[in-house]
Amino acid sequence: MSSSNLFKATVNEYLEGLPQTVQSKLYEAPATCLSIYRLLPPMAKFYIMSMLFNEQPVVLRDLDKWCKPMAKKMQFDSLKRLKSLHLIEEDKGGNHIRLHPTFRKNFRNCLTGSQESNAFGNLCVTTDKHKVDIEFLDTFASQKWETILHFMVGTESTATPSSSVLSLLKSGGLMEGPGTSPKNLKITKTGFQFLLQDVNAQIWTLLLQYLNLTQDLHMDPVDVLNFIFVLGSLELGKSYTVSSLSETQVSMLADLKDYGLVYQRTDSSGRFYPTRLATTLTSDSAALKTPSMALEQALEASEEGAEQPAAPEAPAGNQGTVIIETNFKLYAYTNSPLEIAILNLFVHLKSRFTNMVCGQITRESIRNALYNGITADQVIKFLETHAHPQMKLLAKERLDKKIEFDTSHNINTAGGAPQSQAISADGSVAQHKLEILPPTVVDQIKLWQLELDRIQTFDGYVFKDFANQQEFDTLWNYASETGVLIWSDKNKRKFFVTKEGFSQVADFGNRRLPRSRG
Amino acid sequence: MGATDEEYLSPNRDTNTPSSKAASAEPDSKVDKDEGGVSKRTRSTAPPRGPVSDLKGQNGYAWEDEYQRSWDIVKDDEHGGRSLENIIKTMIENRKKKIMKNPSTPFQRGIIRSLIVIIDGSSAMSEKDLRPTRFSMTLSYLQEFVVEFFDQNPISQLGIILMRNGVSNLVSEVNGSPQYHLDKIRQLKARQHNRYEPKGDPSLQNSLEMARSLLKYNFGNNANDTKNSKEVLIIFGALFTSDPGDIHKTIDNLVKDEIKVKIIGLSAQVAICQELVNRTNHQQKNLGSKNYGVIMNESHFKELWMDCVIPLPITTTESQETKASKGVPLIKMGFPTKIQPVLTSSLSSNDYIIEFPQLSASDPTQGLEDAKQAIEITNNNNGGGGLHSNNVIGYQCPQCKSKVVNLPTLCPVCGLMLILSTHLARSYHHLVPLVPFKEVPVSSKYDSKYCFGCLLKFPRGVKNDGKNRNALETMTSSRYRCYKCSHDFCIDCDVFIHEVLHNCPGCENN
Amino acid sequence: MDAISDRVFTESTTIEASNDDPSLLTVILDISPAGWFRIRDQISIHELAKSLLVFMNAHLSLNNSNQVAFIASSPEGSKFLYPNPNKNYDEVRRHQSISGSHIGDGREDEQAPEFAPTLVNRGMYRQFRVVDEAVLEELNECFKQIAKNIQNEDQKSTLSGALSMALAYTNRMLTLDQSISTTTASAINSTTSVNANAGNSNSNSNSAAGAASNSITSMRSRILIVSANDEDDVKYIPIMNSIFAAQKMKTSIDIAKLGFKDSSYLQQASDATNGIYLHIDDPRGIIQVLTSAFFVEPSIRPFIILPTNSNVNYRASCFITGKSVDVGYVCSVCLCIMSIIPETGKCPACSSIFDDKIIAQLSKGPVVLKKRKLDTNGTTS
Repeated sequence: MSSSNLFKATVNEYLEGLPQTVQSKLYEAPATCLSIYRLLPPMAKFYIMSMLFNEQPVVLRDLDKWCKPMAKKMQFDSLKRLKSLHLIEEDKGGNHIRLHPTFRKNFRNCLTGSQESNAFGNLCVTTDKHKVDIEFLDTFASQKWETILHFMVGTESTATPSSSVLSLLKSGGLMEGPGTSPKNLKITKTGFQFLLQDVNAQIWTLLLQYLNLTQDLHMDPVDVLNFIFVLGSLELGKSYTVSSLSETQVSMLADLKDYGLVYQRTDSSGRFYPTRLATTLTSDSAALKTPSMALEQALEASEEGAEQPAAPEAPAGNQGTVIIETNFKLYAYTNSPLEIAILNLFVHLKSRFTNMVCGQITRESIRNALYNGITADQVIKFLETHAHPQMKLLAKERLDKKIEFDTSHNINTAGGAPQSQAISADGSVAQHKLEILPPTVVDQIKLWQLELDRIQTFDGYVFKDFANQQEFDTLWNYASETGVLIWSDKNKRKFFVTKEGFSQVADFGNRRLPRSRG
Repeated sequence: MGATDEEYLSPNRDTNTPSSKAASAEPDSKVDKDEGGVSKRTRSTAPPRGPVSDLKGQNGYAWEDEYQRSWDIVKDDEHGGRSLENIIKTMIENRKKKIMKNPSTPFQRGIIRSLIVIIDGSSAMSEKDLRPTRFSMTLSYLQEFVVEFFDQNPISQLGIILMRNGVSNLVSEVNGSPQYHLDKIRQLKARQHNRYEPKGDPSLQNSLEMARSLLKYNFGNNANDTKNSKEVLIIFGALFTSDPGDIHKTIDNLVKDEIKVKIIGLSAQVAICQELVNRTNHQQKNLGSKNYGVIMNESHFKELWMDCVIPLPITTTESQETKASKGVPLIKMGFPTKIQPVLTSSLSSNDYIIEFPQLSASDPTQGLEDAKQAIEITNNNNGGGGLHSNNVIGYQCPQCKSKVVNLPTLCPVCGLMLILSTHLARSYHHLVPLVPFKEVPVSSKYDSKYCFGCLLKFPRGVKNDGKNRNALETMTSSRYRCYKCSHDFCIDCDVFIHEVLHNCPGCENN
Repeated sequence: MDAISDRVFTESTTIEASNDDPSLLTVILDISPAGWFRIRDQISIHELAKSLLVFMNAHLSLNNSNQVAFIASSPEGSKFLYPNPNKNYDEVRRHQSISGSHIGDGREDEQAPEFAPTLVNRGMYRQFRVVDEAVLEELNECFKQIAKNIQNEDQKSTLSGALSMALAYTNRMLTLDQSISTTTASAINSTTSVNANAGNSNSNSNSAAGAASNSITSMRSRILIVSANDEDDVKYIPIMNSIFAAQKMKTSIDIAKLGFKDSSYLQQASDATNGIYLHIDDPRGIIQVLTSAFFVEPSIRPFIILPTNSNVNYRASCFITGKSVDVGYVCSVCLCIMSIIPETGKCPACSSIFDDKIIAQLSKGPVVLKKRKLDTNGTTS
């Protein structure tokens, strides 16, 4: 979940940054509408869906009434997101909202299946002479993609990726170096960060970089984005015709082939196959499998096909390989040079065996990573997503016990707000977090980071000089409810809100406190 | 194939600990894991059942028992590996037997019992002969008891009293909602180390008098006297009682009010308790009865608790009465409608339309509270407030249309017993027990390919050639058939259907 | 300053307040003909089915890993329309992609003119198309079955059966192994299964161990029942059992009731499981209701004020007549409910003999209601 949030955040950020005209154009493609919809937070999805088949504009105040008071922050976030994507439009008075008409029309078509038939790609109807199966596609994709990663880590004796990839890496600031020779390129801080993300986020990083480049090449970003989103909704193992693509999109094919997103036998071939990397573009991590893992699965599947009892040594879905102990020792059951290289970024590796490496997380090793520009959160996220299934199981057991303990002792060890007791009837688990990693390790890594940056800066506004305590309290409550409050001092009657939250709080203040504020 | 079938069965034995499913697919480690699963299971299930039945045979006390390790249960026979399969098989069998045992003949349950549980909170309860202390173990068993009690006696009521420091404290009022009691017990549990730590002397008289008044108050109107059984259950840890007056008078009063007392002693038998029990239950003096039990060990304690779930037998005088009239009582009941304040938001009016709840007839203060809440909602409204709608609910008596807040209860206006149908329905699966499914014998061909409930694909039939006869013996068909509707189910669905759902999806569709 | 540095630790927790867990939606459509016949001038079942498909598409569009199941409950019995393990969806698709307009083996086309020859648009999003095609095709099959047996007198609702099946399926998806690949049902629509028919038990058992641990993120679930059945012929005990099972599994049961009457049992089902019960008087714009009121995902359910437009009638069902009762008699042995006092004076369920005196007293009840106090005094003395 966490990793999917990560890539969602990056994509969302990009989409929100697009000018409104481009956004409007994007909504013309049903596949894009669907993908953008999936990227939204749950509450926003609910809002959109309830407005989708409703012809009338919705009164903003009615939205308030749908939610319980404690969900105010979620509501605020969702509406903010929708507004910045221009998915909803307010009328002049600011009382009613309606969906973006184009988005609405196309998303509706997408759901009812009444869009043009090629919205989700045109299947090739003739059979391919050169049969391509999923296994082949997976090998192809993983080979292409891991070449790029290996190159970045600097693994010896790996092939050099194509020049388009190199220029992308360079322009994205992931690698740097003088000249164009691949030998001179060295990985940068952002490059290290890049390595820690999961595959989906990595691909998106590259694709977004690619989008930036296309503007220089005078390609239409809408066309490019649409194609990316269409790719995400294609079917693995099926071939699609090139002829239905626009010129820009055809030219993209060659690049995408370099990243391992699509397979095309020759450049002039009339068909292309999306790979697993492409078809899982818009899904979250739960559905995503790393290429090497997918390969194993495919192998397993073929074994099953042969009706044999599956080979006992077939490792079943080893998504996670890393075990961390509370004493900061780390064991990783892997022999992939890539994974070891990544671990080496923040772990002091001590010994290596045929199928595992051992190491220790130390202050020095983490500091090294921090100096390289990797954040503590990234390290933690990486460890969480790569945790050994056994660790996840343990964590789950612990969580169950904790919840049981809490309920039987009527206390809240999760440290949530006391009023959350009210919802415990339906969502008691919401208060507890699944702690896959030992909390000692997590906290220590965070503390090591705090050692380095003792000052955090926020842009925002101070509210002060309140006429009375009540005025302060109303605004303060509102600000903290909507989650924009950063700091407050009750005695001095001052508080500080984020930049984005300012107008919201000020509006609220003007509404609630009719007298002129100080 | 052997490994396959084991794995196929695994969800069954993992029902207790689903997370013990191993991640590894290697057979060696799997065997290890399985053993882990077995010992876990025995650890969790054996204590409540096994030792108790043992106890009756050998007059064993806990401290006389040989120390039993959970892994001792796993015994190797000469084939080594085969033993595991046997264990699994027996476990499945055991489960089946358990299911078979459940739907015994329906016993007389559900008479409106009102029971006051008096727990000892005196200093004797801080003894550590029960782990962690007598008191906290009593509390945790009390929780289980409450759940079980309301499961078996859906229309009964319960109250809890704590005797501590010479006085009696009311823990929870007489009420029909298990959740209410559980909350109260939880609060007590949370404070058992500071505010409500065991302290002082117990007073049987004080708490019995309080129990008596509670029982009288709640069923003071004698409209339903015949149908009520009034009971008191005492968990008594101390060996004495310090009372302000003559406890024998209290006992006389209890007898007069037909209140029956049961006692579970935690340390030793006490004469006054014996007398109390015998007299209130109309038994002869100096006769040991099952109404007064002294625990031998923890599991015996629990067994005594659970014995109290089943309604007390009808006393001789009463049974004579019923014999005279020949038959069990029939109770008239009403099934009220749940009413919620109408809550609408519309474009035309910007405010909620709220139907103010009327004052509840059964409990005026509660009604007031509700009304207050409703008013608050309207006030909050301009602040964008909502409400916890579950707080503002009431029920309407179908006979006289008066409104009450809590169920089950007697309608204060017309005296009708009001109850939610769900209260009654909870025990219906005992009435119409689901026949156990039978395993389909191993054969080379099966009629069904998929589990009827969850669409799981079954393994295919295996050809019966001489070679792998050994394998055949250890194999299962993985199909469990309901012989009523002859649909096949997988083991998971079998467990789910018999233990949670109590419906056969197949039979329901015919 | 403390407050600021604190945020580094707390920030991540607040975001996860409601994460986007995948969820399973099981739609149960009651297709007993009588109910639909009665509201034929408002909406036809075909229109409703279309709306439901859009609703399911909307559910699938929420999250890539979301699952749907569709069960049709007819007097002939309940049936999983989707997922249907007997079908190889991959085959269907391939077949269709080659032959263009034909679906399956093509025999539906001539006999089901209500739907377009190609049941759904070929260009539809893959996930949607698989579900929609399967459901429509099977639904037509069901209608034919019903049409054949329409003369059959014994028309009893099998809603309880459908609910039981839905719960069993939910149980598998929810608790046993959320692994997408273990059930053949879900393996079909997961893209990995190239050769779906190869998924024999060997593979199941092998992947089960690993896969179960992969998906720690738990599935959530809900059930939507759409019924136009105005008869109160639902089997009481099984429905109640299902309700309690759903309660234990934390699965909400949502009800969209069409027709003219509220169904008190379904009301109880939704009320007890934190579900939504709406009686839809005018089903013409049903898609609007489905996508707003019924679109509350389990993940945001704690935050939404659930819509409901009626008071719940907690009535029970009489064991003798099968009708619902609001004032009745209860056997104190087995708690069975009777709307009338049985003439034999015996309990119909446990055959214990009732007290004559009490029966006498109860049966003259209405006449002497005002003297109730006197009567009861008489018996106690």
